[in-house]
Amino acid sequence: MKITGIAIRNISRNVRRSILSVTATLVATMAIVVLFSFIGGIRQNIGENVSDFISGNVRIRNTEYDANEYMMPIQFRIQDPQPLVRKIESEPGVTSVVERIPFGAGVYRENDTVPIQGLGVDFAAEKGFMKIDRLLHEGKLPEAGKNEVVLGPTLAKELGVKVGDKITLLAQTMRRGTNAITFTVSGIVVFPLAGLNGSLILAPIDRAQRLLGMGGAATEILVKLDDPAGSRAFAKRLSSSLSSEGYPDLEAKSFDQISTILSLMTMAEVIYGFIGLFFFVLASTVLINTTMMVIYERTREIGTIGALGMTGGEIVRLFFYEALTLAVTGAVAGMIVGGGFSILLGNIGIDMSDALQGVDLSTSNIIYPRFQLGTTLLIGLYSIIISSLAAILPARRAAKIEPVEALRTI
Amino acid sequence: MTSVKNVSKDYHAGETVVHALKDLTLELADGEFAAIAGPSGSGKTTLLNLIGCIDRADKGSIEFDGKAVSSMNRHSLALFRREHLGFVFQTFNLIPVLSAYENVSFALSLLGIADAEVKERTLAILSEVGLDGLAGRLPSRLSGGQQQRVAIARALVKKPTMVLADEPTANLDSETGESILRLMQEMNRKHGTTFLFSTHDPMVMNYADRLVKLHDGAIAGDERRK
Amino acid sequence: MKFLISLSWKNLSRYRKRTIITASAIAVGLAMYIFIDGWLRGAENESTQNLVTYETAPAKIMAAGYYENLRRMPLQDGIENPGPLLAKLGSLGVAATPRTVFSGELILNKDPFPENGSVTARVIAVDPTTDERVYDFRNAVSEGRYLTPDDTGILMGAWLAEDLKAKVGYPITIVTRGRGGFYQTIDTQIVGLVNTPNPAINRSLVMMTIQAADRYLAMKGTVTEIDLKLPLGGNFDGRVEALASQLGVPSYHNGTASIEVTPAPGAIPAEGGAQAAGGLTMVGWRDLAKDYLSIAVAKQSGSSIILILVFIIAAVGVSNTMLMAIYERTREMGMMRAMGMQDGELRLAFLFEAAGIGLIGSVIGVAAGVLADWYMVARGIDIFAMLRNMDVGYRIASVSHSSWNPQVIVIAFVVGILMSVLVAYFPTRRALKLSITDCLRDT
Repeated sequence: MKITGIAIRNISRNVRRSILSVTATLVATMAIVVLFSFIGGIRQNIGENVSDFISGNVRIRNTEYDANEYMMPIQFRIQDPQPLVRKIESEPGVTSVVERIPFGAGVYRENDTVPIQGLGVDFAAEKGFMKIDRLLHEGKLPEAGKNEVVLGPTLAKELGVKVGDKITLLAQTMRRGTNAITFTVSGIVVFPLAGLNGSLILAPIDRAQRLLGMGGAATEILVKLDDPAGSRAFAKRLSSSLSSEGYPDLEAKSFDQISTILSLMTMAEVIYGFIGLFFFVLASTVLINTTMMVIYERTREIGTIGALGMTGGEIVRLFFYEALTLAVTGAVAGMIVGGGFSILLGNIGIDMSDALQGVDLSTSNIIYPRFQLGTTLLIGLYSIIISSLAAILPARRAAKIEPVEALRTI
Repeated sequence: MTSVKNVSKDYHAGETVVHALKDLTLELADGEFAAIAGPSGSGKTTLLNLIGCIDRADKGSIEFDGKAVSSMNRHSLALFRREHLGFVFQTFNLIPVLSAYENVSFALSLLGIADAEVKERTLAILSEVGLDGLAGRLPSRLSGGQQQRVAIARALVKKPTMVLADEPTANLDSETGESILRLMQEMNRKHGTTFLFSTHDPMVMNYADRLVKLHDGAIAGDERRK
Repeated sequence: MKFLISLSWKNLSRYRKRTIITASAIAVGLAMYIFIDGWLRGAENESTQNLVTYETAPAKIMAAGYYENLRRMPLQDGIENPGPLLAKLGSLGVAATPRTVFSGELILNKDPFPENGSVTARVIAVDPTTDERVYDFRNAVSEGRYLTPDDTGILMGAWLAEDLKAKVGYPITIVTRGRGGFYQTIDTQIVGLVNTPNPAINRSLVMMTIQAADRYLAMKGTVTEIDLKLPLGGNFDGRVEALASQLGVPSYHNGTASIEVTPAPGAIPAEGGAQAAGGLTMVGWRDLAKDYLSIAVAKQSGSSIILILVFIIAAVGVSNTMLMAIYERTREMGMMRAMGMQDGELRLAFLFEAAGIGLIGSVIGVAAGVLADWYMVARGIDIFAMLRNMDVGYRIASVSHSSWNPQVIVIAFVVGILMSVLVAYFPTRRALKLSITDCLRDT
């Protein structure tokens, strides 16, 4: 009979106690698994939203624009974007490339001007990028060359416009003049980001160029990669090749460099890692107590096997394996329950719209927790390691029990 | 041969000091079937524990065939016990989660013996002690006498130099106790293993070939019977 | 009884290590509860303070039409003759100040700004002499100076200035539309920067005098809101409602509901009073800070979940320990019962023991929690780096402090003890069901 076998048998000696010990580890592991799945879901969600609507996986802009981004200095533009777009499209690992012009504008009305955010886009290309056709709720997408726009339902309601109505957009041109174009609302699109639904108007890029007096230029080129994980490397390569290829004033950045939220998510994950550590330490106090009790209970047995010639080290290992088995059982059960719960929530989604009212965190209203096997296994391992390290402490005391003391029959 | 030379052992219970063994000298030949007898407090259990290497003398030395065990550290003592000594206890002390077979084979697997040999020797010794067919039972399903037989098998399976038995019949009725004693006597004759008892039971004393009487930590008598 | 208590205490010290370990689990849970609660509460208190002192004021009076279209800041729906209303407020002893808020585009020119550009802004026009009755901007000026009554300059939030690379003295042109829709260009310059504890204000404030705004926008005395200073706390809503009633304001939005207010007899309704087509309405700060409130609620529920889990684990720990204690003392219990101790007394002894563990845990936990609270109340933690570029809803600009909450500390203390006793009750009951001989049998 190997030591591990004896350890497993011993656990079934007192089932109630074993279950209790397992429960503590289970609850802790399950909680952390769900927590990280939740964060994983948020992270992915933010990543997707930022990539679709704000920056793509990699964004190319004029260096001077970024420096003064706040005031949307459209004079810092990409003069002749088409060849560059084509060139990047042909690179390996690139899914889709689009050009865009974000601009500040106002909807001119009789008594006031409603400030809105404008975005000049290539609607045909955006079908593959932000999947604009899937966001269409009513009406149709604007045709290139026509004075048509789409907007979110909240903004439409506030402006009091429906599909077919006309609105006039007033904007500052590149040369600091003013220009206005009257557009027809061709459709309503629903963005997953609540903030955009209340502020964004999409127009065909050539119309935006006309409104802003930009000629054929664009403000930014967005790139989507097959594997977003390689964004940083891609951006770096692209930046260096841009200067050598005749675009000296342009630079490329990856989405995690652009979005502050994502770096904060990383920080949040670190914090939650600590919370996890804390939870597991808490759970291991239960295991410590159990192991201590078990050793006490089996004092005479320890004396016996010591008399039979089992060394101190082997005795420690025996009790350690018992505690380890409990820890592993709790962790595995916790992973399964936590994983199951995460997958379930991942299908249903968690509605965060109440919490997100008015706060711009680039998250959609409904978050789908994302169960990741790798992370879950890591959490389980983490849990097991902490619990078993904790169990070593009382296990070592078993070795100190002298057989002669243990065998004393009173 | 086992020699105990000028061994003393004191116990401290709070403020009082009890001199359990006082400068005791004793020699045991191989194959002896001996008993240490005396009233409670005479030191017989202490002496057995010292020879059994589960306790350490304060003064003096104990040697097995010239090898001094009194100077060994805890780890080495455990290994020594593993190879050379077997124990039979008053309270049987079988591991409750292991079957009769497993309790016996456990002693062998500590020695790192190959599985096939373990199986062979375990079944053989179980048969010798009369437990054929009960090998798979847990101690909770065995009678006192049967449990003690398992204990004896466990002690003997590793072919030890000596088996130490502390009041082995104290928890058995007289008939069962006698059969246990007869079994141990048989094993002693058959395998030549030294058996050392500690007891105050006259029946056990009767079975012994040699009776060492202890009184207040010193030898009060040492007679050979047969 | 005393015997039982001392018996329990002796048993606890017998198994010192186990008692300490279990008590530690409780202690950690309680300390966390106290700390998190203190921090959240502190953040909320600070946010409320900063909202009310720099952003929303405790309450505002607006025209009902203006309130309905608040985001668009429609100038034609203002309070047309604020004078009598302000006078009445004065006679009631309520500090008040008028403001006009409008949206405009800030045009920035290259030189002295680094580049040409424009930014949409929400411009707040205040009366510099009365504004400090309700707000505290005069003391928040970090560079330059505060506005004078006939000032033509503007104040800017420090973070906004930083983002635009603006400095005191820089000229800015504001393009807006006046009352009636005509275009207006306001040439002005930055006379001061304002750095408040409220990050939302620092990020967005553009402030000018209401006198200047009145001229430029052709308001003819109309203002868009009258901001009131009222003490928070206690029955705040009741107080605001009462005031609305005395002023003849027919409705009050308190953040959760819109309440109809019956005007008190003799309240100013129409005679020469402030009016707007559609009447006036009273708006409480909670209604204007919905974004912050929803985040606060979400944060609380998140931390509640964490705390519940911590308590579950601690409860499991106590249960485990009590089970062990009872199991290993089965023989002892049998003996005591054989000697004549009553079941009820024995149960009490074990419950006292559990309470003892809980007490130790509570003492340590509360002490740790209070210590952590103390540090956070006195020094706080500087999270400026995180807040500068991200809007987390809370109105904290740099250092976040905790608040003392004696109620929570007491609750934590009691819960620690109660939970232990509760959790020990069932194993004790089960152990007492065994017969005495079963207990005494040698295992």
